[in-house]
Amino acid sequence: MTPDAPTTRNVPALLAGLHTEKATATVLVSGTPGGAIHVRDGMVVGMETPGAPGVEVLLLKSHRIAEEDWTAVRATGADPARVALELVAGGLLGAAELEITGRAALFDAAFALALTSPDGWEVTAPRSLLDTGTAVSPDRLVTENARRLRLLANERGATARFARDRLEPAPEARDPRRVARLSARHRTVLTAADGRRTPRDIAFTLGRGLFAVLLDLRDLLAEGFLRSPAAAPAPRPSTAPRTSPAATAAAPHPTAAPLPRRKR
Amino acid sequence: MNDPVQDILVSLRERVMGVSETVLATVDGLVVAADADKTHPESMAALASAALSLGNRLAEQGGTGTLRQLTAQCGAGHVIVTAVGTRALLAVVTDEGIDGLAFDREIPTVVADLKKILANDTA
Repeated sequence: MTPDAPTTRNVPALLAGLHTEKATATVLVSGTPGGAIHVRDGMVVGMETPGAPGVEVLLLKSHRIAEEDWTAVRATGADPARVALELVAGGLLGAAELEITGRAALFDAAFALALTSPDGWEVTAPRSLLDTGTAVSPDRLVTENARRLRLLANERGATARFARDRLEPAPEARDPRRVARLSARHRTVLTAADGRRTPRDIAFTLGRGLFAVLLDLRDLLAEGFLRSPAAAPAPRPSTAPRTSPAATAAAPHPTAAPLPRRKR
Repeated sequence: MNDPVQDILVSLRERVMGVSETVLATVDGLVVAADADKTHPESMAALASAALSLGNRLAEQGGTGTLRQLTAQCGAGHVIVTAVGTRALLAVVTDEGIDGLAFDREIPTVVADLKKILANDTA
């Protein structure tokens, strides 16, 4: 926690303060996940966190924007912050579409950050972010987060635990007739849930919001398609320096030397 | 009981958001341990060992000191190769949302722990 901010109890309070001051700043939050909250004239205009897919991931992973187009815009020398706006200018993306994607990513990042308590935060000078034209008041973020938590479990701890679960397919998921009855959206999530991926990993894999993925996972769990995974141990071989056959200087038949073998 | 090396690899994936696969290999490209599902550990080990050798040569050519880490930055993620002492290397596959701060924080301890365990391999 920064020493200059003894009065702010938490990040929402800090954002509310910045809102009243109509401040322009970037709040760096440290934690698991941490992130950056961009504030312009008191309004939250964007958030970046490893905990939820950002605008770039949402646009590229969904194949809404082709990788080549993205790279092409970057190559024009445009300010990285303006890449998305350049896509709009180039007619590859609607302005409203960009704003909606930006808004969705913002709410999702806020939700991801709200699942855990931050280790600390620091208000810094405004930093560059991918411009989407979105601006949301801090109050709106708080009410939306509360609504999302209520929808999921009505309790932050339970939701945070659920967000860390690496669900794997249950035997039900191998029944093609039952799987066929699922919506295409649920089926994709089911395929991505492999017992290794957390909901956050699935969100990045599919280019969908964390909250949306959590809702679908909850449905799949309730229907018995998913379950918590069981751990599987495995032994490992030794890394001791191998006695190379070449090292034995007077090897009479170099061709007879066996290939290096792993020591057990 | 799980192998401690395997535990280290799994815990790296659990502690750092965005880490999806890890392969620990000898410097000559044989798999030691892997926490992998989508990647083929043997291929990853071989390629990572080749990449690390090239990285060392690059560092030499560039006159940029000792190689610390090699990162392949890709459209939908990264592959990061780190030397684990002189005997082994660690290849980590991540998605594009990798928590870089957490990764940089964790990787020195992970490497140190792995080095300690591997140093006990004498035969």
